[in-house]
Amino acid sequence: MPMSGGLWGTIPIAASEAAHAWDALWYFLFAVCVVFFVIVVVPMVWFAIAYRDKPGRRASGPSHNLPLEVIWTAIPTVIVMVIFVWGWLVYKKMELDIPPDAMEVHVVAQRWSWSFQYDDGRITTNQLFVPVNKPVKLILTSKREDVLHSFFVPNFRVKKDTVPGMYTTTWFRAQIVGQHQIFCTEYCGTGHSAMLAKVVVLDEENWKLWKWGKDVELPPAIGLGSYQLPTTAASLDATSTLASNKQGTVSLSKEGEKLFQTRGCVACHSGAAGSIGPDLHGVFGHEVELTDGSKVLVDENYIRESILQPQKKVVKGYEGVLMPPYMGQFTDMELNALVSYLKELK
Amino acid sequence: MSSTTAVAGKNYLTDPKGIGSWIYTLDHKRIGLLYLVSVLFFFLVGGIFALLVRLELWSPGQTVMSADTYNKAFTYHGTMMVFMVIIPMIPAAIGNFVLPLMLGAKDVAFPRLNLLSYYIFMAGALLGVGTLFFKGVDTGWTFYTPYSTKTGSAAAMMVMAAFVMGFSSILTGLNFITTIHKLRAPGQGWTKLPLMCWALYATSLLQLLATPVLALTLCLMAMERVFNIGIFDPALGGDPVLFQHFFWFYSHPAVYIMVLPAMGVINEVIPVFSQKPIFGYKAMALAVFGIAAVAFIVWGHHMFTSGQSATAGFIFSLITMFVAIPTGIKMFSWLATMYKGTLRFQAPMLYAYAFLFVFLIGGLTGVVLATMAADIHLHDTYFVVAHFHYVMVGGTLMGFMAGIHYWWPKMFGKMYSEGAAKLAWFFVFMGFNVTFFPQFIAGSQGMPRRYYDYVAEFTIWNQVSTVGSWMIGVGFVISAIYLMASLVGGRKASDNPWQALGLEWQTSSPPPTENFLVDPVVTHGPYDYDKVAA
Repeated sequence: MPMSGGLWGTIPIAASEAAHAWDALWYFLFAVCVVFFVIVVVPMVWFAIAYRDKPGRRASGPSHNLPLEVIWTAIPTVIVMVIFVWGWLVYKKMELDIPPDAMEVHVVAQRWSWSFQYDDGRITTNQLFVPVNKPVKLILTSKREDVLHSFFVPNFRVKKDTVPGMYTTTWFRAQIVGQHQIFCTEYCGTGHSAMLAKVVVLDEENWKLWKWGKDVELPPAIGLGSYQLPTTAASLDATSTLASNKQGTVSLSKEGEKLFQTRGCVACHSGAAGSIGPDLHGVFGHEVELTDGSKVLVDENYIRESILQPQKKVVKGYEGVLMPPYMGQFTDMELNALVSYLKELK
Repeated sequence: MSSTTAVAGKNYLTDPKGIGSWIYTLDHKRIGLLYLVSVLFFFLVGGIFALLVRLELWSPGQTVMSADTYNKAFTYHGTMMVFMVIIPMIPAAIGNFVLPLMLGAKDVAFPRLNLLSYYIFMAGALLGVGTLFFKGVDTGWTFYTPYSTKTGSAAAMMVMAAFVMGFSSILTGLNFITTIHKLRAPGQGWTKLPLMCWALYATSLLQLLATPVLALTLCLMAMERVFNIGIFDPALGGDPVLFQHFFWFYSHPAVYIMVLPAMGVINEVIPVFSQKPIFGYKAMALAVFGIAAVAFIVWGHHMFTSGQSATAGFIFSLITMFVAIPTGIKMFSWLATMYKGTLRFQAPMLYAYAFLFVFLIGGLTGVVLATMAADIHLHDTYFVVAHFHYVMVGGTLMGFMAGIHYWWPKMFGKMYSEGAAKLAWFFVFMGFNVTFFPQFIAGSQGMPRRYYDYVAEFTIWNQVSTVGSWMIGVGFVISAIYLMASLVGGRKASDNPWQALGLEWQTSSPPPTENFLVDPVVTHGPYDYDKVAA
């Protein structure tokens, strides 16, 4: 098993599908840099030797040359455009082309640990368990009262900031079974460099065992990170009603449904005739029209915002319906559960 | 030129005398020196913080300080170097001294405003340094919310300091633009304006237009902290990413505020030390404005991973690519200027060479980082740290060193030891590359920035880097010694020791208080080395 990546180990091992596309782009960029470095530095050295001031030598040479100036404007323009387009295409693959069948995991960052919330309702801390060769979509946020963090897996070339009060998304398809280092890459204070975690990529058999709640033997560390998990694992979302559900006995959307029923949402959003609020069945992923005539896509962020600050974007036809803001009444993990439930509410 | 030689013993340094004549001076040359001394002091302090940061990173885990102390050390290194050193280093210190001389003017357009700018700068700087007595600041120089609104109260004071120093920047910009428009010597048309002046002009525009946005942002931040109005803090219904937009709307142009004046210095040094006209004068002047214009619409390239929309990222990446074009034009034109010249490798030219080498690497890695996909992996790693040190230190500091060695004889009328200067150059240039090149590798391998502790694989690169930081330190200590020694025992400098054509070399060294005893008239271009014997 190779432990380091290309260009004499100056990049990490490529352990995800997108990482290979990234590496190809990287080799190209490296080549362009080397070529231009040579184009400039070789003349610098040559001129320093050949045109050194000597008695009797007089300076000559042109003070302008239009064709030359056009060439050194045009050629770099073409090259940077190639770089731009290539960079965009790889970016699209890395960030936007999320396979629709991707397994979703919610990532909640706080100072200074990572929590992962799976569709089966299970929560893990500082270890993200995923199956090999399956697409995994991450929906990330920081706890609302926390600060910015950034989720970085060098082996996957994955990086995304986690922003309090907002969801961000990214995805990967891990290709190498093993433990892959996670770093926090947005400065967050005292424990910033200790905010470490691992993506644990399991083979098919172990993944099944893990899903059934069985103990699995952890695979070896791949590439970076001789680091071992600290014995004092950071605390889970202790205030959450979900904290008791570490074993994943109830799925995340079921948790959401429970919250939907018990926290009063259902009173206005049941969808039954005469309901005060909009029917939420099947709205996820569709556009709705707002009171000011504009349209908004019902995605994770819109649902979250509408729970916390319902008056911000009111759906047409519900002018004057005063849903109270739920800011501060749900934990971030409970919000994730609600989002998961509404997504599945067909 | 003999008629312009000052009466012996009477120059701006000695006349008038007394401490009051310095602290209330309206003379641009003295104000330039006040800035120079202040900036060099802050450079020393910022440099000590840098050495401490590198020392802590010698090995994984705790080496010499706690994580909280480390976080403050890199914050002070960053804020001091950016706001108190690199931004004012060339425009305010060297620019103040040389701009009116290069224009053949007696002073800047608004001498009193100029002095006020200096004291506003000092007030802001002292406020910034004063935060050290209020438990210090640990936000990094970027003050990202919501961290900066949640950490200790000294952060608000530091933000205030940046706000105050911003006004100094705005006023200096205004002063320089007016000076360039109104006070050029007879015969100095726009095409005879030295490129240093063009660079200062473009810099001033950026200062004037971008800095107010920083001021507004910092005001909003203060309002959030004091009145709990939700602007950036999501717990109050604000948006932390909005702060990043505002911050980089100023701070990206600020990067060009830092580097354009350095390009201006190089534009002066290379023709003189090649004894050749600058290649492509008009393209050079236009390129500076091209860079300045693009500077305003590329800020989002700092935010590819922030949750900013992909569409915005697409546009910012595309526009950023175009920064490479005028920068490339300048690079190639400097090479063409040297082609078939008669190159003299005295200290200013050595630093110009260092600038070309280092800025080239900084520029190329800038294109790499502007590439959206590449940036996803590299963002907030040591690759970025290495890149902006190559641009800001490599660019601005090497430009400053070229400039200070070039104009030193004019400023003080004394020559420094050329041998000692070459020795110091070796340490600064080699040390710089030894410090920062390994950081590209650590970064592309995945080492995040602002890390107090790191995984063992990165140890070797960090140790090489730390050794490099000592080399830079040695280089600057040697520089300080021979420059100060030159003031005491240096050989007297002639009025024009480099055989340069700029107007500043036509007056005595050091110049009289009124700059020129006889008002100069410009009859040739600043780089007409092929037509005029200097």
